[in-house]
Amino acid sequence: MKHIQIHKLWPFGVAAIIAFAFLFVGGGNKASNDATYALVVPSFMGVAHAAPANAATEIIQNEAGMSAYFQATTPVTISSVRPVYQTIELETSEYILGSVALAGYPEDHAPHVYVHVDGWFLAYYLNTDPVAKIIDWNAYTASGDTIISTKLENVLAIVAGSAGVGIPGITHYDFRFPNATNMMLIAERAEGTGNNYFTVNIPTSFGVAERSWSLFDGGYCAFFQLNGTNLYDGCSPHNFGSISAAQMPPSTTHTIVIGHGTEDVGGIALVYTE
Amino acid sequence: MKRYIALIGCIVLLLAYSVFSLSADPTVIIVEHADLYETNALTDSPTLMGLLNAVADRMTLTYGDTVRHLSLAAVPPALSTLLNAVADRIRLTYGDRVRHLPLAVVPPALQTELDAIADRFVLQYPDDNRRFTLNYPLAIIGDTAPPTIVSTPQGSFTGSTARITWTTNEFTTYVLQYGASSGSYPNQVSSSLFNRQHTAVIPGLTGDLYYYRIISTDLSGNTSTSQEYVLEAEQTIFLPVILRP
Repeated sequence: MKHIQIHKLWPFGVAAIIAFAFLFVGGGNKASNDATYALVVPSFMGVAHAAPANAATEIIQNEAGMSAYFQATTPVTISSVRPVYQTIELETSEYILGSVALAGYPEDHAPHVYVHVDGWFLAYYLNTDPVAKIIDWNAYTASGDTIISTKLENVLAIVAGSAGVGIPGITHYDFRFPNATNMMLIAERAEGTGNNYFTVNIPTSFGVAERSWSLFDGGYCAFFQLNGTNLYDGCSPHNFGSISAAQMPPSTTHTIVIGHGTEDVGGIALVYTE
Repeated sequence: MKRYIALIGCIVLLLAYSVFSLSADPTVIIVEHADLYETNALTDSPTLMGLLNAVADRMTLTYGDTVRHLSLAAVPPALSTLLNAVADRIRLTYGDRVRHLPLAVVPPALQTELDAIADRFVLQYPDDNRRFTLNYPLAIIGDTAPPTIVSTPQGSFTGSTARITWTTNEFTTYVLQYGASSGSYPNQVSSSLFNRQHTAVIPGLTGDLYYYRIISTDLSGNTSTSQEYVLEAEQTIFLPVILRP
């Protein structure tokens, strides 16, 4: 008798369930994953995006990796810096953006340089370049292996010299890693035709955003080795590349060996958050 | 005549036999021209050999002027106890000079200062290194545009914890404010890290419906507040099964 009563009521039950489901589920945007909760977007939209300060700074934000910059204490004229540019990508009465060649380096080592009449100078490599590319091994050798300088600093010196302004102090920044607070450059020279090495151990409390290597081979051929693995073994003078997180985990002593040529100098760059 | 020849032959053969048999046996003592000789057979003396075999092993000394034999006795237990109490030591041989310095535990005050030293890269043997501080070129970029959310936030739930993800058009930090009533956001989660892809985790949610908004701040300090979004818990419906008799 009881079963017959349920059987007669089943259309009403199904209708109630459908109505219940529509009420609580139909208004949502159910995702394919059963564990996903739907987020319903209200009808109004967010704040519109305005244009950046100028076209050059927009380019810089989109393509720059590691950069170096300073502001001169006096205004500059664009015409005073234009002669040192190898290529000019943008030029207005307010600013100029292009590449400036560095003596002793091939064309693809020419940093991009932005100069504004307000006295701002900014040099950068592209965000596809590993950070270690900035190490200026020619300048390091010229200093008697005592001063590590960057190509970005040295190209800024060229442009500042052309503008006739002094450099009060240069600051670096990597547009790829906004949370990074520091960069470390480490240099090593291999004496004669032999090898030389150094070790580095990264604390686990540091957040390392980028690891990369660079090697200048002054004669014959050379190699760059990390923990027994060759990252480079060839005969071209200017070499650099990236090091993955798996290749250089923290809290481990890593050994970097360079050498084999007659004038090899190389090292690594680490961008990190303390 | 034949008899003489045979006799002579026999004598020659006998002499030849004697000569060859004597030379082939080295143990035979040949005595010639002696007036008298005597032979004695030598035999083992069991008594004497027994005595010789009983002689103990010994050091064999030859040409020594004087010998002194000292018996070594086991260390008396009392002395052995004292010897065992001697501490281990570094054994030095032929060192011209020795200086012993006891190492003490670092005083607490110094240890406190040592513990306060920040973590660092541990470098060994590089020729040079240089450390840079990185800073955003705020004045050069001159960005005055507030950041925007370019993808609709998506949420998922694991138990009572919600996970909301969204994307901004530039690197931003965020403060995600939320509450159970529309327009009221008494609670918040935040991140001070600059990212484009964001994930906010909200633990301890007990209700089924929440309202939230996201405040984004870019590297230039420009801030934007999003519209209100709704986080709605998915309801699981169990359909009844009706069995016909």
